[in-house]
Amino acid sequence: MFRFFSKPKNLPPFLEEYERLCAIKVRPATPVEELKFIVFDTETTGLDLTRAKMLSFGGIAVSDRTVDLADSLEIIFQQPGISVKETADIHGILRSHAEKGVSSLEALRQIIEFIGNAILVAHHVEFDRKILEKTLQQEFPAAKLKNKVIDTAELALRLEHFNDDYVYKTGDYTLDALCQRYHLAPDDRHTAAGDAFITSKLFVKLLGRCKARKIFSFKDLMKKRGFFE
Amino acid sequence: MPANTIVHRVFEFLRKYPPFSLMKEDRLLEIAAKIKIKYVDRGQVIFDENDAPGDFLYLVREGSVSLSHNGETVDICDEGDLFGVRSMLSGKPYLLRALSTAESLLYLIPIPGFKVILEQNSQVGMYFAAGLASGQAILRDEPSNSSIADKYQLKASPAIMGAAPGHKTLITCKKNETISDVAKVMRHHNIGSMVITGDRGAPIGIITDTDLRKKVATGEYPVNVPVEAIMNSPVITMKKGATLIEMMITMMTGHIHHLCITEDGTDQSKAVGIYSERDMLLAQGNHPAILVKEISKAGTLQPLPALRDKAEKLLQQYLQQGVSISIVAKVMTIINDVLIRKAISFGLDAVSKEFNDPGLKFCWLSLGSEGREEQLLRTDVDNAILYENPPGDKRAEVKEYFLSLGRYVNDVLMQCGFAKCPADIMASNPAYCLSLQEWEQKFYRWINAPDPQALMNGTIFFDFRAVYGDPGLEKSLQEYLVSSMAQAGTFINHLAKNALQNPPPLTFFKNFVVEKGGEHKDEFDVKKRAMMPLADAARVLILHHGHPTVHHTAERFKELAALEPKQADLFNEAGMAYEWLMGLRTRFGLAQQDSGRFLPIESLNKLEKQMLRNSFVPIKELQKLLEVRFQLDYFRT
Repeated sequence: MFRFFSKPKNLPPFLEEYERLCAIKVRPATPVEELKFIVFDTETTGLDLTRAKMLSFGGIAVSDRTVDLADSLEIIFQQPGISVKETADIHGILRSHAEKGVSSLEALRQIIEFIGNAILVAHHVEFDRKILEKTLQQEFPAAKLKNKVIDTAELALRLEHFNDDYVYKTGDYTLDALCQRYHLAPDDRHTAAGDAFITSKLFVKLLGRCKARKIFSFKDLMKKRGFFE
Repeated sequence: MPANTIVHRVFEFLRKYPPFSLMKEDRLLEIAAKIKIKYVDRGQVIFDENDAPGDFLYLVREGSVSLSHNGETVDICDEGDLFGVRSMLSGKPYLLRALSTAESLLYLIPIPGFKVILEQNSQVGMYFAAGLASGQAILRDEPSNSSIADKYQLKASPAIMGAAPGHKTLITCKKNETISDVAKVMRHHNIGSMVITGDRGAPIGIITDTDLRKKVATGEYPVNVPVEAIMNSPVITMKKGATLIEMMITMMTGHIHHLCITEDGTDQSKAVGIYSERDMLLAQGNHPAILVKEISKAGTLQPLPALRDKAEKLLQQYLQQGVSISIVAKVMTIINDVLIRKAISFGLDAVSKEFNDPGLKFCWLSLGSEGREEQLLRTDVDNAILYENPPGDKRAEVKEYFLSLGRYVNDVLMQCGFAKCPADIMASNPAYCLSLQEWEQKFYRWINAPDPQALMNGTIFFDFRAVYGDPGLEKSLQEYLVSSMAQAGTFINHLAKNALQNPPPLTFFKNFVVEKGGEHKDEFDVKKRAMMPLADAARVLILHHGHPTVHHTAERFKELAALEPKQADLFNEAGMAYEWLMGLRTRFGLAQQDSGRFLPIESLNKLEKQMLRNSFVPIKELQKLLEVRFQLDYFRT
């Protein structure tokens, strides 16, 4: 009836804490060096968001152009009913790992506590953001993923072509293409943590190029050039 | 908990480089899990002179960082290099400024966790102690031959060292016991050989089954005389704890089949074991002694190439086991020499069917690396024939005979996988198949008119070594060489100057001078830039001292260290560097299936790069010494 009042959410403590953190506004003038990012990647059973399930999550913290291994997380989801054999070939997730995986609820608790209110960074971040939110909502329909996001593909594009008539070509901004351009060995792709690690190194290199493009603050960083619009 | 996959990725990188390569896996994983990876722009100061000590040790993951003091560059760190070490150890402010000279990613290693390992792991501690005291010390960190031998269980097993089966003590007898009594003891214990001891149990002779067969069963000696009559004496002894390879070399060079092991290694102390060739063969499967035997026993040429291939497998095995290169070189030289001798004996048979044997003494000279007892891989052969001066009317005939032998032997060597000398310095070339008088004339010309070609010849020919034939001829030529060099005065200066033509690539600090173009672009010519300068310097110095009988470059340095105690450190370092370089070149040669001369610098690990750089230090010192000693600044060619 009175739904425009506050909707009772019945969220567990970790999500309440998460919402409290996300409610803190970041000053637009905050220098990029002071921002905290979580670079992450997910591996899923497919690319169709309506059906795909999350198999694993890998993430690592970045701040002040520094990747911090001590602040990283790797989660393998328990997958009842999924043929582990099929996915293992693609994602390198061994059967034993998948069997050892944690329940969806426990995985979400760890992931949410890990990301906090950091800015989420991923390569083609929209997909990963949506699958994470969908997984979250399967357990807590009222929950939302509230973090700001940055797409490394878009950031690279913005830094490389800030002022020309470049016509976007898909192949130019894949993670592999960028690894090659930024001299990063694309070793052992296709595990969430492995990809997150590579992306984090790409991301600090991109951050290193921000000053030259007059990107100094949170507000500058979150501007979009709009190539994908 | 940090992501395992990511920690492992960092771990895999770290373990390639010392000191991380020296750490236990679980400790290294702990370190990897705490690492931060920092991006730095080109031109960014990471720490400055007099900055307070930081919380991290730095490792370059990619890019490069210069360390400088008062604006002067002290070091350039590239991938895998650590910096910030001094301040970590002393806890004092940084002495140097670290500045990135390219966009870089640095691994930041928290100091507290690292220090714990430093204190607990003596090898890691040593690495830093050595690295800080002087770069040179790392050369001495290479495990010595004996410790490696321990590790790979190349020590003779005590179980087979002479006691009869089931017996803990050596079975011996006295020299006055009769042959039949001794034979009964041998039968009783089921042993094939026995040591005869004198005072205090010191060995005075050995008796074996063979002696009983050859000397007694033939009726030569009656069974009731004292064993002294047929024993083999004196006894070749070795110290307890000698390695199998040392024993094997002693047997191979002494042409003996039994060794007696004594308390202190001399025949004056108590005999504690007997070691037979058979024991040795049993102790090791693939064995050089077997190869040598099979080569010498071969009735035709046909099995020789396969046997030489086997020798290469053995070489590979030794290098994998970390057997010291001086021992490996000795073994390979023995095998090569036996092969050459075999080829010569077949050659003499073949040639005698065509020509009349001139009945002259001759010797086969190995030159260049085989002459120096350093030919491990089947690179090109350099050889020559030296024969007694023939009577005037027989000259042409004699020359044809030996040339024909030279052609035959070199053909066999080619069939066995050796390469032809591109400059045709081979006994099949009429220019290098000469009588003693002709050789002396040749040497005289080179020594008294030292043009560049003569000097180059000197570097190959003056390393001659007789592998077959009359040692007297070799000795005559050696004496001639030394005396005519002494008379000629300036020749040695020319030779010294020639030894300086390849200065070590030290000007490029931390970088290697690699080949600029052609087939070997970006590779490091280890022969020309590191080994030749050392071999050339050793030759000049040893000839100057008049000791042409020492062949191996490392042995020459040893000899020089003994001759000039004041320079002993330098010579010893140079010898070690040379052996290390030989090992490196051989390993790469085997892996690349070529001469190993050109090293792709990228495929060297961190320690190898460091050692390679260290080997340039004695080269530079030696070249300085040559300049001063032979006054090359004032000397113009």
